[in-house]
Amino acid sequence: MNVDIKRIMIVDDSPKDVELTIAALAEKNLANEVIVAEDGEEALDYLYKRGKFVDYEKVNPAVILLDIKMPKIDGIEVLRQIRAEPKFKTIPVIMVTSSREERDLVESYNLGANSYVVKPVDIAQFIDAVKVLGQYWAVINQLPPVRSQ
Amino acid sequence: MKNRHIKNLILFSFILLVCNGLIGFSVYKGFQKLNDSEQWIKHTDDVISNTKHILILSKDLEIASRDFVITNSSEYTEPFKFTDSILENMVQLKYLTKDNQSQQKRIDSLNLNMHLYLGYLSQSIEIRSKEGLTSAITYILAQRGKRYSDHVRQNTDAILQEENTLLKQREQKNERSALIFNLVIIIMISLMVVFTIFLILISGRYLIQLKDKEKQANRLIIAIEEKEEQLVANKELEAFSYSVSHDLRAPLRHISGFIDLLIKNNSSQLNETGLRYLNIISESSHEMGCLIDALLTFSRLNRTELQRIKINTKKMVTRIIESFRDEISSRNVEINVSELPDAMGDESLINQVWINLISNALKYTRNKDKAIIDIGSKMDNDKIIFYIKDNGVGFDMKYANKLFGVFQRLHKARDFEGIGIGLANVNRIITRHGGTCWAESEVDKGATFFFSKPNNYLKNEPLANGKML
Repeated sequence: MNVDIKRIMIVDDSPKDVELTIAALAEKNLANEVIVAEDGEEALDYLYKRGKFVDYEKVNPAVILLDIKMPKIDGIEVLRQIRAEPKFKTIPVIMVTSSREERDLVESYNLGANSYVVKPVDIAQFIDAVKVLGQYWAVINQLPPVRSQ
Repeated sequence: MKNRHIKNLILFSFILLVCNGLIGFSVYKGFQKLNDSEQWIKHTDDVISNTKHILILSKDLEIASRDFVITNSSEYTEPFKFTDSILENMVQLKYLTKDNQSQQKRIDSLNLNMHLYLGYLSQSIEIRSKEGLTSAITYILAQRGKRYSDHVRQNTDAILQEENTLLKQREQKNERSALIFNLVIIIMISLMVVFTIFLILISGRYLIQLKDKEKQANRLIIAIEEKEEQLVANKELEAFSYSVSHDLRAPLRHISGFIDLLIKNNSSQLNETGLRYLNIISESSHEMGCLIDALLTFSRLNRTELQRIKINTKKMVTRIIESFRDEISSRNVEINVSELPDAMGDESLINQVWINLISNALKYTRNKDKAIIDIGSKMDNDKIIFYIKDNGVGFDMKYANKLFGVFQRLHKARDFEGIGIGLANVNRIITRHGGTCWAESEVDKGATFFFSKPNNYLKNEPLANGKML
């Protein structure tokens, strides 16, 4: 895996939420390599590099921000499939919950995601979650400084 | 059915069986006796008729011999061929009475006397036919035939008397037996009646108990069904409010989020008023989010099933105080925790109660240089009363009844933030635990909040009353 380019994948069906998340990431200049999937199906398409992502670089994202409530395949199912596939098993996943209550749901189901953030994703939350996953260095520190688009 | 009753049931049934058996046995014995009596009576009859027959025969012989002596006509010697039959009867008599010693003696005596008498009679006939009337008369007078006939008479009388006496004895015995027999039957039947009544009573009582248990079971079933219905309704409500709150939160989140972005990115283009307006909008949407959260929590409090375990109150309170460590260390706060007994309750809900009360105590003492918070308890009959006392801003007792209302506040939001749901939650939780809460205060002198919990450690409250514990 190419360690220079770190991609953050956001899986969320609400464009407004996505925009807010990207704005939050932009605060720390993390928004340059962001892939957005609008539902679980697209997320898996990206991971498997099929469908509309067929020409993309065969690179796993450094971290996935996974919304829970999505149509068709919900976040929990996506997580299960990711964890079932050896290629993707090690990708850190942060569940994105709508409320503190939903967090309980996530915790109690022991999903294999060890971290969560509550919407709206603010940058402090995100960084904390990434720290918990031990991906701090992978995602934050090794990113190159501000790149021109 | 109690063990004692079962034992009684078995005992009574057994007694009835025994009585039945005894009655049957008595009847059997009774019939036997009856049979015996009949046999015996027949036997006596035989003896009597035999004896009488002997007597009659001997009388016939006596008359025959007399007539012959008088007439010397051989037609009168006819009866003498019956002497054999007399002898036969005698043997028969002897046999019939062979178990009676005294009768046997009498019969022997009769036998002897009969022989003598018969000998005398045939001798008188012989003499008459051979020696003529005068010799016969002399012979008769000399032998005093009457003597022999009297002896025979005496013997037969004695035999008959004995038989009659025996008969009477037997009769008496029979009467007595019959009396006993009747008595036994009456007693047995009475006992049977009595015990049958007892059996009926016990069975009746048992049936009534069964009916009661059935009624109870039915009531419980109805209560359970109602509870199940309630649970289903609750689940539906839960699902409904969950999704509603989520759907409400999404646009709220967007409003807040983009307002914040607006403020961050475009503040330079806005004047003071514009910024202020934006801030108000942002605050309002945050507030609305809090309200939604609060409503959700409050409604959930009403519906969750209460778990019931022993709570180490002291440990819980200490842990909560520890969680407020940051705020406490940044101010001058003294917290005194005294005696806090363990109590039964739903751990997470009681935890919430303490969090709310302690956070309130900390909040409303912010205006004091030194905040003093006392947490303790006291006993009142079978209730534990917990209290938390602070020296903060207090409240006007005039409005005490609003204290625990939903979204009710007794202070301005700008002085002390909050939406007025904390105490409502506390009240709801404590009420569900079967307790009450109240407060006392004096403006600016602080407030004390009390809540009581029934101390039924060992008691088991029935399902049906709705309030648990």
